[in-house]
Amino acid sequence: MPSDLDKFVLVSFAIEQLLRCEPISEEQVKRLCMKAREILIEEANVQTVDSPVTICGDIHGQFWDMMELFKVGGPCPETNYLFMGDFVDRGFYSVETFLLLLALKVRYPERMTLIRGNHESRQITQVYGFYDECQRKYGSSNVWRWCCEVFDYLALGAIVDGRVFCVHGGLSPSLQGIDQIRTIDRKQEVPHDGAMCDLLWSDPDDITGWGLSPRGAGYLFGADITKMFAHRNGIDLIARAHQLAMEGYKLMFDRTIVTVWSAPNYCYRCGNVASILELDEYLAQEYKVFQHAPSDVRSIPAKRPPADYFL
Amino acid sequence: MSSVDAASSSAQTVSPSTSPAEQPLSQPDSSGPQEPPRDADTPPSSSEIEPRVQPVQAGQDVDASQVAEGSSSSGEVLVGVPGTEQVEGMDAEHAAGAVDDSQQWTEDDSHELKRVKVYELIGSRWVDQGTAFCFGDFQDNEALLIARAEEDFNRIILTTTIRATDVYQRQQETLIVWTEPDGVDYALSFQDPEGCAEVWHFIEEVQRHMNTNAEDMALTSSPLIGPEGPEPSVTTANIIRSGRLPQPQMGIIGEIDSAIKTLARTAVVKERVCEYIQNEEYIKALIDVFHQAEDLESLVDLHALFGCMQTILLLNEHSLYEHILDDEIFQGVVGILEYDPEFPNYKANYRDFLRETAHFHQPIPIRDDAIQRKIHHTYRLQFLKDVVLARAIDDSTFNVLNSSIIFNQIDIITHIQNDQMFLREIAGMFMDDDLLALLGLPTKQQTEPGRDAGSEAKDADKMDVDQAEPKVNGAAHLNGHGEGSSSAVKPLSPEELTRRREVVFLVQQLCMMGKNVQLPARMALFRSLVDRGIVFAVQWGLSQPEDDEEGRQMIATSGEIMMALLDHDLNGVRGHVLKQLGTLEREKANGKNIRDKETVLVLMCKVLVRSQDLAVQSLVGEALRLLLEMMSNDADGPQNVGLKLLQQRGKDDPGVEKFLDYFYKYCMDILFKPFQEIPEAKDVSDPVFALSREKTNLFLWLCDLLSNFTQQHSFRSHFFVLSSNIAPRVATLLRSKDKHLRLAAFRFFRTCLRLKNGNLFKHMIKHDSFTPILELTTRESRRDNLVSSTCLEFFDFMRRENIKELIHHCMTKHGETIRALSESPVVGARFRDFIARWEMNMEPPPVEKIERITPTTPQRWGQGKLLDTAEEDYFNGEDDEEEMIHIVSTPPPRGTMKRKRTGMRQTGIPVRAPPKPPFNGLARLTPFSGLVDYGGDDDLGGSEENITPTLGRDSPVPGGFIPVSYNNPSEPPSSPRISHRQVSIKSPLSPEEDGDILDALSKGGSSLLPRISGMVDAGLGSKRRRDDDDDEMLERLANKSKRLTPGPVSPTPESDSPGPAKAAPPKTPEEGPKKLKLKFGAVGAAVASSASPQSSSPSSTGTKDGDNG
Repeated sequence: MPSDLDKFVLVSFAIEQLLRCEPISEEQVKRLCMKAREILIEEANVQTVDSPVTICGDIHGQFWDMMELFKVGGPCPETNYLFMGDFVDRGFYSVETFLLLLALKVRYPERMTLIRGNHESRQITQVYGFYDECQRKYGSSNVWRWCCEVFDYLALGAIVDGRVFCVHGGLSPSLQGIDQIRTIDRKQEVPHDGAMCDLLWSDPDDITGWGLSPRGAGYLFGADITKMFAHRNGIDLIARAHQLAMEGYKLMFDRTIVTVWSAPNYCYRCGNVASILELDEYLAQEYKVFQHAPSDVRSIPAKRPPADYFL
Repeated sequence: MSSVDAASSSAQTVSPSTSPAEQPLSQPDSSGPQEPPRDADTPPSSSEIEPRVQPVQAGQDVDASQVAEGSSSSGEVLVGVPGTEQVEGMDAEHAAGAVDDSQQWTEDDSHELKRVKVYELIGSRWVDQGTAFCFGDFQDNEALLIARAEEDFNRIILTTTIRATDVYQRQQETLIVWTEPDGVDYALSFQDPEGCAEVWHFIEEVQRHMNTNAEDMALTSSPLIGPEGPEPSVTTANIIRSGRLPQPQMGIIGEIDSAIKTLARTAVVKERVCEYIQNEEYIKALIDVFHQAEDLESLVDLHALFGCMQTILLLNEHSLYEHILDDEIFQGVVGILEYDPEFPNYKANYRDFLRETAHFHQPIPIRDDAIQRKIHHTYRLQFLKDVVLARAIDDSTFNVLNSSIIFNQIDIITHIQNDQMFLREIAGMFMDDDLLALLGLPTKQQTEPGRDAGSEAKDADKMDVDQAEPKVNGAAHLNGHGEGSSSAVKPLSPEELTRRREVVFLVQQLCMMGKNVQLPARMALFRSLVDRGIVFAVQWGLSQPEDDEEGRQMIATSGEIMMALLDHDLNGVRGHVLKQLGTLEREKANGKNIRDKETVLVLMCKVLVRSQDLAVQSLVGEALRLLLEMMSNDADGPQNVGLKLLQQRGKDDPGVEKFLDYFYKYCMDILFKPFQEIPEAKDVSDPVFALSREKTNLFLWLCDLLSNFTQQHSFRSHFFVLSSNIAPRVATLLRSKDKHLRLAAFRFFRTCLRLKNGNLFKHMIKHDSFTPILELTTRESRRDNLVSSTCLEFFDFMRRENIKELIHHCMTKHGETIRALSESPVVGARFRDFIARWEMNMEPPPVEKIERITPTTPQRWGQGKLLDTAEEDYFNGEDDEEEMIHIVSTPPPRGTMKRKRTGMRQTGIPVRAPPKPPFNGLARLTPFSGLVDYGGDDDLGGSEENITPTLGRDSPVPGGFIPVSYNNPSEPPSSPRISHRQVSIKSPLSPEEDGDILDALSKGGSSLLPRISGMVDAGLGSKRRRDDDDDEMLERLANKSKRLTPGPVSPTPESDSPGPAKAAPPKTPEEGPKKLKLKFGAVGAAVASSASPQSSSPSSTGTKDGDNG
């Protein structure tokens, strides 16, 4: 991909601005999204990642809490990051959060991996806040539309050193092997069923075999399924997000699967702590727990109504 | 926002520390009737009463409006994480605004404190009467003590009138004991000392009141609190003891604040405090103090005022909000709230914003004062909720504010819908004279001559209206201007231009507001907008030049409006296009010049093609995609019976057919004209085809649209593709410089492949589309990326579905390339399978062959693969006829197709605006309506390996169904409906027909409202039945093709076998969830069909809905 100086300068400016939680201009968003598309189209459905890497779960637009995350995990180019989706919705700063991650992805494509979560979807974001936030902050839905376009290009999963499989939701009854994910045509809105949907929606549960998911999409899968999958694909661990873990992370099924949750005090009221999972070069796991950002004048949600009103 | 909790709790529970003053003076000694049982102190279940249980309950109260993520059941799944529950529940509640809290326990924390066990002394034993929440209440001038059962709000365990005599005793911290007049002894054992204190305080107060003022029990006037000059030493305790709020002045605000907090702990007193604050203009007095404090820059007082005002607002009294929204008070209130003590170095600028920045405009006057007031109040409420109180707001305040906003919005919307003049005036502004004349409306020509006199009168008239609302902050009064001429050719006067822009903004805000209200009201709004001709405004907006900022803004805004209209009344907009068409045809017949006139559809096509702006392209492209989406016709059957059903004004509307006819006859060529500019693939020798960025984006959209049309418009689009030579030009784009355009072009061919239409296949072969396709595949074959995955999927699909014609073509014409690909380390395995498939096709395999193939498969789990191959082999033994059926059958009824179609729909047309969950159960069905097709959906992507061998073996062979053989694969599609349509395309619209369209549509337009409401009510049932029929047909088709299909399909045994088998528990892990889901789908459909239009009441909307969230 072109690594022209121009791009880096542009993106560096964008990163600087976004780190202050200031949204970048619509024009900048457009360019950023186009560049991101160029990079993401080159990524595999299951992106290969090398250790060491720090794995993060849901962020949900909690920008200042993500800043805490970077404090705990180290700044971006120094630490390799893998974010397992759900960057947007619910929090006050979905726009800044996602664009910052995207800008970091464009600036340091090898050091930042983003995979798709169930909230990276047109349908979901229209209900849970990202759409409204874009409308409010930019006065039109263009930014939302471009971001959604980028969502369609995001990888569905990642695999670290061939040993740790990362996905937002979980497993799918349609998939026995990671290799099978390769033949999914991922450039589409998250479907309501099928393998792609399951990867983004399923949850592990204390059951045997597969179960009906109360979420209405994806499945529940038990320890047997998880262990079988790990065994067949020669992996040690499945890292996933998608479910709130009050302690920040939750290991299940004899440590074959872990839920990593990176949104402390979820929705600014759940009172949970968050965590990130650091894998060192030997894939040893270290969970770093962190708290939500202290209340601050900057964290006053700015939700100005439109200046001109007719109704 | 972490302070939210603290703030909310401080508002409610902080006071115990300050309350000793109000502790009962006379602690009753323990000479009570009898010592209540010890265990009463700790109600059995109190250990479960963790703070978090409460939110969970609240969540369940509204759980129907929850969405699947963290829905009630998932909350149970998330062991130890009830927080999700809480938040989801809260979200839903917030959005729902008004949760009916009269009939059930709510989130309000205060009753939790008053959790009691009720005991009755029977004989010598205290008998537990149940766990309840205890309240003081007033009914018919009597003060009552009521204990309502914890588990059921409506069950009253105990109710007793409070008597003036001293029969009540308080024992320990948590017991209240007394004897009823009939001699029965009761005891209330509180969980919380605070709760006990509160109830005790209530009893005391009532008694005091009764004793001092025995005849006046009305309690409406406020004997406790009265205006009174500042007392010598104002302390919280003093205020509480005196029961009077002192006149505010600097220095005592903090005391007043904590006194209000304390007093507000008892519902009855709180009510009186609120009343007092309103009646005595207490807030005005506070504002006066505020102005003093601001002048003196007394930060201490300012901060105290902030706290006090926040306390008052968080009293959460609806009428209080009404009070402070008044024009003269509101500025002062937000002024006070600018000084947040948490950020002592900052001052917010709310007043500046409201005074300087916020402007109310009314390009079309709203003639109802009450509605105007509501508009301002709504704006202020939103400002309070989103800005001023955003950090401090607690759940109940949020709900009160939110429901006030929504009720106002409903009123505003209803008013506008019923104000005939308003919408007519809007639409009229954008119609030309011919049209106005046709509609019998006053044309602009007519008003022109008498303009001076007439418009002056009008101006005066409007000025009156304006003066009626002089409180508007710096409102720009633009009424009365710009009534000027606006024939399509004459340039608009600047005033008229400004006014039109404002009207477009107004309509957009109306649409946004509309999205907040419940589904039936929303549908009605959008319907009347379309019926009243709002699309004319959109058309004007879209036609604005995109080279200046204002024009772009107009395009964006009207595009948003269009999108909202399409989301809610798709066929209405189509009907509008046809009406326009009819009018134009008629004018033409009358000899008028209509060269400058066009339908909005043509305009959209032109805008997309000519636009150089990425945002405009995306917006218009998406609008076109929505406008031409045909998913609920034909094969989709029962899917999306929810919102879609409501949206459609009858899906078999002949208007839709005419609309498509019109589009294909007049618009396709305009839209896809840019393809004429690029050469065919065979004429391009350069391996890389370069385009400008704007063109790239344009072709990206055109490819997407073409794929969608090809997928959805059956014979019309196929005919277009076959007759236009567009495919070889799309093939050129496979060499485009930009990879995403290559991908988009590729997806067109993928669509063709999936349609399994023999004609399209022949066309692809004829134009040698496979050369560039394989070029692209080869180019990407060394990498593992999105494009290579898509390519791989393309050939894998061909193999899986065994599309012999194309496999053969690829192997014979491009054998070299394929073989080379099969050597590739990345994609090789799949292509080796592909070759093997061809070899099998050529020569039905001897058994060894299977073994030869197996080792080459990449899967490590091997054994499944082996059986799979055997299974494929088994199907392979079938004769060729089945193939023909696939080729000719449109719509392809198989599960795969259905699923993919869903996928396509997702990509292409974002299922837009699945409206906020709490408001409509119906819309929320969309996500899982997809689940309905699980029944037929046996082929989840690449699932062949997954199907258990037994299932495959047991699967019924084509028994009972006689395969029909079509000898001529190039025959038109076999569906009778389709062929009927094929006839219709050939017959051009005759003039009479056009007249009919107009008539039918204009009639339709007016009759639509009743029709839709009927549909929602009873019509839904019949609609549903019709869908069922379709469904049945579909199922039959599906079964047919299932049997005949080689490859991955596993016919579910249940689907054909009689009853018992259906009930049999699922055998394979894969089957289980599907069957269950199918049931859920049915439940969902039932919910959809039973939901009444007025209330998509949370509880009926179904626990099971996908998260649309």
